[in-house]
Amino acid sequence: MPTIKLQSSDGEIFDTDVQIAKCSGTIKTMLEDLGMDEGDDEAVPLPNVNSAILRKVLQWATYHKDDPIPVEDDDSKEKRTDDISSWDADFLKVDQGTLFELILAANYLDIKGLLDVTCKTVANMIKGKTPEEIRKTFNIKNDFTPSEEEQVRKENEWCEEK
Amino acid sequence: MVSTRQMTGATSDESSLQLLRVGSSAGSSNIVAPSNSTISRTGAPQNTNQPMSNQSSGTISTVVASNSSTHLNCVNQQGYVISSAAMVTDVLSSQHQQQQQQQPLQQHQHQLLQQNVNLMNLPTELLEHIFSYVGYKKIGHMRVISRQMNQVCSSILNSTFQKLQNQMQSRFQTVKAKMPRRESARRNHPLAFECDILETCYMRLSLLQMTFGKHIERKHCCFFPGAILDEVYSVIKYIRTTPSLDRPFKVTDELFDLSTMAMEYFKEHIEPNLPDIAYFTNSTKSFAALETSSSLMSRETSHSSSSSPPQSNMVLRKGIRKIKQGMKRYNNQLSVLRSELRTCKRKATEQAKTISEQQKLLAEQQKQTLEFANRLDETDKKNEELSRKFSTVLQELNKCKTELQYWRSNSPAVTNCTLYDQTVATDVTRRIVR
Repeated sequence: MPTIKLQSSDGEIFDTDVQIAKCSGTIKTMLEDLGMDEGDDEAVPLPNVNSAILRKVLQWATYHKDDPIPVEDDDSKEKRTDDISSWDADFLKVDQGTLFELILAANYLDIKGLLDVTCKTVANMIKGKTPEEIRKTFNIKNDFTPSEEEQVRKENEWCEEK
Repeated sequence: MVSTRQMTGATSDESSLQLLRVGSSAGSSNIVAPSNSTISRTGAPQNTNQPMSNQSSGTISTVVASNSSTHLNCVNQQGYVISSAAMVTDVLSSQHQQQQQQQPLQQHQHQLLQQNVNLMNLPTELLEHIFSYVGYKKIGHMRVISRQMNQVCSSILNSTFQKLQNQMQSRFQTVKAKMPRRESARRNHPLAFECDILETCYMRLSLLQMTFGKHIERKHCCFFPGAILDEVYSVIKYIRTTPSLDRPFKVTDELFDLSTMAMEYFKEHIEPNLPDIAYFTNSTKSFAALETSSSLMSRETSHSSSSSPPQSNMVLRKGIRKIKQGMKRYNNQLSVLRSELRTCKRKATEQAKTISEQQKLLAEQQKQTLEFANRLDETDKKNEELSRKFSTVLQELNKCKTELQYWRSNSPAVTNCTLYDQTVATDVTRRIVR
């Protein structure tokens, strides 16, 4: 099976199946455009992904290598967040920093499946929470002045039943 | 061998991806054979790498440099420290030592990265992607979290509102084009229900645009009723998933209610606090909006808005009502200004009065000063007279004294006292002179 060497930002080399690496749109396009020879020893540098994250990404891609190619999103399509598989849910039981880094890496490497599932996980962390709870969850500081906050609150009262 | 520059170029059309261009300082190639673990830093003044067989430069673009292109600018400073540490290890030129020292550095940097990445550090595109899963109603509620969140959520709401308008307009027009012109034939057409639903959606969105549009355009507020966007999407989904549509008014009932509520609330509670918009400087855009709404209202597909007088009259009436409202507001402002002007005039006359009174007072005081000056002159004269009289008295006194001395010197009995008398006399004269 042909392999490709991927090099993380901190210099670690990952010997990976080409089929798995091609889960990444970025690598796939690069291989198609540049037509790298199979015998090449050169590693593909991925300067925006460190080894820990790249390992996780490759773990995900290995598990999902046989998944059908995801279709482009239609705006009008309903966006569900309760369709995360149990394997993905377990895989994404990580700290927030890693989760966000996975999102950045999935975006950089153009892995739609991973990007969607990570974004859904974050969306689930937001859903059903009050603004104050969201602030606490993601450690966001409320930097509104009282009048600004009042203005936004007033606007949000438009559909409250009286 | 493939240069990084080429590879980054190959994927550069992916706008959201930010591949680092390390090529500037790294000569021909940044790729190293897997067996070679020598590490150098990007952009170092000299390459102090150990010589490598069959490799042109063998540079691994290090951790530090690569991160500078990500959104985590805050890491850069620490990155600099790490790179200088890496430089020291480089100079030691022991491969084994380098590996040992590099590992804790990498771990440290990874920790730094983990500490610094949080939700609000993600690029806006990714935030939009995440929030697209939470629903627009929730996005509207999330605006209150922080300023940045407000900015991101507002832009999502505004752009989605705009996108939905365009989408509904084009969908409505496509469906309308497929329908027969004749009203009776249209009623029995299979697309009739879909056309009705789309028309209602487009009409509600247009009305919302008329209410919010001007203020959104001027960034006075955003399209805060996110639930309406959710509702439009659910209607679109209903159209897509339901094979035979029925009772279109039921489908759009909720949308109708929500949009009415939003418009009423905006006009009653939000708009009065927003900065005024001049109605007399109607932009071409608003005319375009009026025209589109008029064409929307016209039931006849073949006729343009100009050829359907009753509908365009309605639109005109609306326009006139708006202008009247504007005029009323201006009149109110004018009357306020007039009353202000009146009070100003009153104040001006009062001040003129006080000025004239003060001038009178000034004149009187000048008179008094003149009098005082005259009196002063008189007293000066008196003083002069007095001093003259006094000097004559002194002269007389001196004469008396000399006479007294003369008589004393002539009498022999009093010679002992002469000296004493003389000093007393001189003292007296001195005092008098003073």
